Amino acid sequence: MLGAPLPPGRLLRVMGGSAAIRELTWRIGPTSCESSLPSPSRPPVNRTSRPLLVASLLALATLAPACGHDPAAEVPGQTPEGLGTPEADPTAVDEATFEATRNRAFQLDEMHADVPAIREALLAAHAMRPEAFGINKRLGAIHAELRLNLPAVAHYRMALDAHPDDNSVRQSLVALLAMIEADDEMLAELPILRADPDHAGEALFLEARLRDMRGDRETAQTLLAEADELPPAEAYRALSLHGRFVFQTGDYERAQELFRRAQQGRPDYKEAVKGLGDCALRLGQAEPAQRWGEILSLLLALTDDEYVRRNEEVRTEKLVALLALLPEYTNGYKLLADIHRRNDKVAEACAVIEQFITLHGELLQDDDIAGLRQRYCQPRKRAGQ
Amino acid sequence: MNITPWALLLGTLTLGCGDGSEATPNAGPAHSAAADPAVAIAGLVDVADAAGIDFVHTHGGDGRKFLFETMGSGLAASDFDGDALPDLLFLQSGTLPHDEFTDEDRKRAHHAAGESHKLYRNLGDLTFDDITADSGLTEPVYAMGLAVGDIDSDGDRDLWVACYGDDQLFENDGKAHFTDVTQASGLSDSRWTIGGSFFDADLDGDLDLYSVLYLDMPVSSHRFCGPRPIRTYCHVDSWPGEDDRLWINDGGGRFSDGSAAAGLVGTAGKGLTVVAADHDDDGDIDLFVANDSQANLMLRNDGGGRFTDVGAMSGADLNGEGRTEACMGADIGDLDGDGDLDMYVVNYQQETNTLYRNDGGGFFTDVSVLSGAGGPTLPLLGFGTVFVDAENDGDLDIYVANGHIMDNIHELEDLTTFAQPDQLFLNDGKGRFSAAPASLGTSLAVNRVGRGVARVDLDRDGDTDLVVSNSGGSPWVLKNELAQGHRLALVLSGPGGRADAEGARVTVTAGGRTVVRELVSGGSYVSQSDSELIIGLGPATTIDSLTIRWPGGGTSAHNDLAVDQRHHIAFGGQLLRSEPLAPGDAR
Repeated sequence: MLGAPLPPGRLLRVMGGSAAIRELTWRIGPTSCESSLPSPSRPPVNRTSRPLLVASLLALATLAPACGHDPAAEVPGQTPEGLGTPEADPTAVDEATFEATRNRAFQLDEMHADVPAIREALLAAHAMRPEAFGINKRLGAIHAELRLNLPAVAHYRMALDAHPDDNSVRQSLVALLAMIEADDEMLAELPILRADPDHAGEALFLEARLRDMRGDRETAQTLLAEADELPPAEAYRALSLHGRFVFQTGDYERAQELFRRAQQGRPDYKEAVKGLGDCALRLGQAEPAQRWGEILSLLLALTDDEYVRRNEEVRTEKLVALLALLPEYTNGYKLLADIHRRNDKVAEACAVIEQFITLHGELLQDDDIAGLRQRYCQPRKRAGQ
Repeated sequence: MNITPWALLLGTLTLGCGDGSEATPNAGPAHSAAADPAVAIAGLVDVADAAGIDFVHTHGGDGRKFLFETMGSGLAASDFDGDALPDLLFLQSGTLPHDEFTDEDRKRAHHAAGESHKLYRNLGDLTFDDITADSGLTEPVYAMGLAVGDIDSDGDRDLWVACYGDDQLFENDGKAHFTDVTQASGLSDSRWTIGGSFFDADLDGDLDLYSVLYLDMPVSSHRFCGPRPIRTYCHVDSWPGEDDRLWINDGGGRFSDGSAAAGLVGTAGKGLTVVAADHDDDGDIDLFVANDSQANLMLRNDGGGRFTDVGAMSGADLNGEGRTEACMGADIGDLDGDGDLDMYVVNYQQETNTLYRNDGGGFFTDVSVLSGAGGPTLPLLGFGTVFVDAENDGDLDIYVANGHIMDNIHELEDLTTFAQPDQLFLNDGKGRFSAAPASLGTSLAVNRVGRGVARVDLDRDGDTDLVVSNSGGSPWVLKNELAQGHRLALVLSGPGGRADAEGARVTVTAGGRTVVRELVSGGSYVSQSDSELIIGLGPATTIDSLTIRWPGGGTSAHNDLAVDQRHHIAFGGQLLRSEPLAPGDAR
């Protein structure tokens, strides 16, 4: 397995606890809307030295001549240079044309169409409104997914130029910078994220990991100690990393506690599950060791085994087994119900959702519950119906 | 081996960019420091040309992207002709085994193209003669890996070649003339075997063979993969894995499939490397199998040749994050000087290589980042790895051969290149590593597509040189000019006249430090290192004690061995002879 992280910005989040509930209900609701206009209330962007951005733009500008490829050919009227220094005159673009182009691109994205097709559509919209926040955000994500890292950085930067306080974009940018080892640029962004309670846990994790990679475990541990104070759902990666550090010292009881908190924050987080299993083994706790081992095997099968991923019958079996062992894995109910729904097994899908509501209903609003029942307990509408 | 799924998604970028290969170092920001060919090299210096090593690997790829064409092929460093000098054998891949080619077509194409394995006799002065023509190793096959061992205990080293196609077993007449005994031995397998290891599974004194199988991937299953029009190699998930096989040596030149009796059925792994060593220090030889995209196997030997997979319990089945990794090569040895055997597994890019610290009690802990041997590997794709005491200072360093699998990776990922620099991680003696600068090695400064690597003292000066097979190109022959410490060289014979004592464990105390080394078989990737053990002693000019634990039982003490000498010791402990080592460059 590649084992590489999910592409920054397009994290198909599989979470537990309240975050999973949000995810579950969000997915049911309408798709987000695009605002292409920068907010007048947003502070100006600091345009100090950005070596990677320059490199990103240069890469875009030179990609075509270097490789005999002209991205401009993909979208009439677009030039590579246009990405960094927009030549398009916004007043010259017909608003209706722009909206239609943008909406088509977003629709493709929401429908999980072929990534190159999404990219092409987004680039077409980008050519008309190079500063548009939502388009740049999605282009950042798409390019990151395609491993066109420098353009991805450039688009994220442009999105942040429009909305500097959108820390979701900043987190995606930071994750990308971490992946391509643009360490100093990543470090420059982290204080902003650390000041945002919604992103502090991840920021602490990323900085701790970087410090550790650089050989400074002491600083890393200090940062992770800060994350220990955060809600587990916001800091599960930091908690788990801290658990690994402690595990390596042989303090298995303390490590077990950290892994336990991380796993509470995200029940299907494999590192925490493995950590709990390893701690139990070292502490001679046979029954928990076996249980965590079984859970890890099921999680690995569901995520890493192509045969299981492709075979919905086997996948269903694994999910049922996993939910029996790990009922707090809220996203598993959605995954299971979706399989049933895709196969027009409404009764089974509905039963799964009812089980979910029974176990976790206290975390849901009434309209969330209604939305779930509407989606999973009624036959799917077919085209033309 | 693995292909990133994201890489398969890219739309229309252009064909025809350079691939970053050979002397055009351009491997991304994380390792660009290693990419200046103008750097003066002092350390591991490539001497292939001067040595007369003119082998060039050919993978036969024609754009259709058969996965096996990018896996490379291996090498062996071993004394095949009995002159006490280690020779070099490079395996060839050659013309693709297409369905549309008959075997005869392939043979003609091989011969027409001059594609062949190459066997080089060591002349002793760091020059070599090509003796392939008389070696009996000219039959064209699509070779992957090999194992070397004295299967008939007649004192010379025989050869097994793992292929995409029928594997081959060759018997050596002691003069590096090989006879194909595959059919007579019963050791035939036409599945996709990657490599293997000779070791004594049941401690009966002869060598058995563990063969590692990769994928059930017939040529007919080939299809287009990648974001059209860019074609890439298909992901390993496209095919099921295969059960590895344990071949039991029945004597008389016969082998039988002992997999079921040994408890080895149903593993269905996607194996790439096996390392045979006594992981749990109980006197028998266990196995570690590095699997691609699946959990690794840790096969504990019960002493009688039955194996139990304790991977999950040991912690070495997954990395510390609970993930399977695209594990390629591996090696085993005492990295932190605590007397037990640690493991290092090399992986795909964006996965760190993984260092498993042996905590005793059958437990391993992933300390990749903590050790310093993980982080710097993140942007590179590792294949082969060996532990080597490059400086003869008494601790084991780690060499990693890197190279991507996709020759068009630059079309798919803008910061990655096909050819990549190798890496050398220097040990501080306590299991903390730092990446050596590019100036310490030709292969650290110049990019090639690394695959297998073997350690061997080619010039008999008492330090460990390295040889690296590179896919689609020339090998590195790296003369060691780093070593400065005193050292011992040990040549250990096996039981019953067997050439080598695979599994022997040596414990040396000198200068206040105790060093443990085991004659590990397998490891690296598709390659085999020489069986001589070179043990660095740093400044120590005498030893306090030396014991050898022999495979199958018995220990011998050798407390009066002189340093800076090569000692030949027979199974059980009889000192056969000693000879001074040639002075090294740095001493």
